[in-house]
Amino acid sequence: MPSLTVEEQRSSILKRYPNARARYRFAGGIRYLCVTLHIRPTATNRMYSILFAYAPDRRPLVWVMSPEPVKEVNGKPTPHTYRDGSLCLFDPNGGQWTDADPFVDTIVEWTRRWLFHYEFWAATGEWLGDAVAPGTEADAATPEGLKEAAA
Amino acid sequence: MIAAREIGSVDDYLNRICEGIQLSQTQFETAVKRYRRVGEWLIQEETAMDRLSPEVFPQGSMLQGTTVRPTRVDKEVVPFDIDTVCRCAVDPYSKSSQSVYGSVLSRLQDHAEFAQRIRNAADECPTSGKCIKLSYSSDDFYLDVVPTCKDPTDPDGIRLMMCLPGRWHDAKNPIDTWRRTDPFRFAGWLHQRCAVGRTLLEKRAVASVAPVPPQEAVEEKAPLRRAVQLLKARRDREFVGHACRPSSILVTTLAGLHYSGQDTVFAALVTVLDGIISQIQKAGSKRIIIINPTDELAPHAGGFEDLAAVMDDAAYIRFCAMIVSMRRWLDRLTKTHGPDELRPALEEAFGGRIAVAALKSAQEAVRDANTRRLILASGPAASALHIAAESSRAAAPTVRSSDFHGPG
Repeated sequence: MPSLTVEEQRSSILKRYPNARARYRFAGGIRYLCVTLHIRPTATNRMYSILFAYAPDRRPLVWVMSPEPVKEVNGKPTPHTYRDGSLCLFDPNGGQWTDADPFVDTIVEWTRRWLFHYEFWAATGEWLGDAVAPGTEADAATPEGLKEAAA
Repeated sequence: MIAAREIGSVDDYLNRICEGIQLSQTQFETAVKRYRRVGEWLIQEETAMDRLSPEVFPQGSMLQGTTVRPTRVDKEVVPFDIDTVCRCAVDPYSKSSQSVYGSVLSRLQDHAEFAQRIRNAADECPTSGKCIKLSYSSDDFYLDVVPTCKDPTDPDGIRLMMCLPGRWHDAKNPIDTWRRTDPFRFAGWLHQRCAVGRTLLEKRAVASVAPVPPQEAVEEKAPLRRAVQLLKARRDREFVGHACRPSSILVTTLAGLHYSGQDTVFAALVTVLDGIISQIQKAGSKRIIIINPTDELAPHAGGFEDLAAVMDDAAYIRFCAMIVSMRRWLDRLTKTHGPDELRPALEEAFGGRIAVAALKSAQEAVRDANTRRLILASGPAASALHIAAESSRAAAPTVRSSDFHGPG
């Protein structure tokens, strides 16, 4: 499958989420497509403002911007997040996502599911979203200042 | 097979509450086993009962598909009653209900275990005297055996007559010791109300120990039956420790009367509660009258039976307040955002165990749907996470599975 261009990714997001705010930002010498979306996983969940940052050949970055995410419950940090606070939505070594995959059908949907489990975790301290044992490596090099520049 | 479902809506959580409050499959099978054992003992041939040609049927919530599991609230227990009809072939004009009651009781007491259970029940709770109660208190069950005979005035032979113990000592004629009851038509009426406009189920019950209809999974259960379960469970919590409370037949009748074909349990419950509130308001300073919908003829005692009459004024006021507060609670439920708000709201109405189980099962359902790649793609206005049925996965675009990475 050929990779989708950044513009194709942008168009497909805006087509499904007409109220999304899309713009380009440079960080670490790389041009990122930055999109802010409002996502409410279900009618009984809160509405979240989510920032997505994407550049070809790089891991998509996803941050919960507001409401301010809970950082820990019972002394335990938020599950499935990288050190920069971005969400670990898929196994980067498992071939679960490539540049050929429409962002809107994968990353955005996985974010919705992550938020659904996150709210339950924030209320109870229990994360019930894993079918397999979670990974251990959760670090990634994020260009400094990208999140702030895109916000 | 996984059925199509939406997860995370208020309706979804109400369905999950229904899963939590109805008898578990194990409890249901235990109840059926106990019913069958008692039934088979009663119909055994060549016993004193044999000349009464007894037949045994389930009635009440087991027949209606509206079971609510036993509840414990502040050390008080709301047990589950397995309602059983023992229909004897006697002529109520010539044989008193006291005599039939005595025959059924005597037969049950011939069985050492059943005799002990009858003694235990007599020690544990007061009975109306219309039925013989067996206690299975280790798991908060009672089995009620209601001695009956056919009502000879019913040309279809469906309606029954049951004991009227209050008349055992002053009745001039045997017929005066009986009162009418129509549990099979009532179950049929409820079925008809569930279907609204569709055909009625089989009218006549047959077989010596009639089988208990299998317990439906919640998603297969008609919205009206689910609404009845929720109302009964709420009633159980509201009236725990109160001797005088609205009966299940009253709650079921009100729900059936006001239901008008809604597709979801949420919409069904809103409609039913609004209907009851409107009925209460129309009655003004008087009490509402609830006539048994299958009691279409005047009973022998004269007049119709008001199902609400058994409630004293305090119980009636409490019941009305419960209906109003449940309606407000539903409104509040639609405004909750997040499990931290949803959990206390569900706890308030149905208790902590049921609330947590409902929230957890929704989480697990999404997790499992992700594994099976059954989550449907959604958009900005999605009110729930929509899950495809396993069988229709190929027909709809589902979201690729992913494993959340990093420390869990």
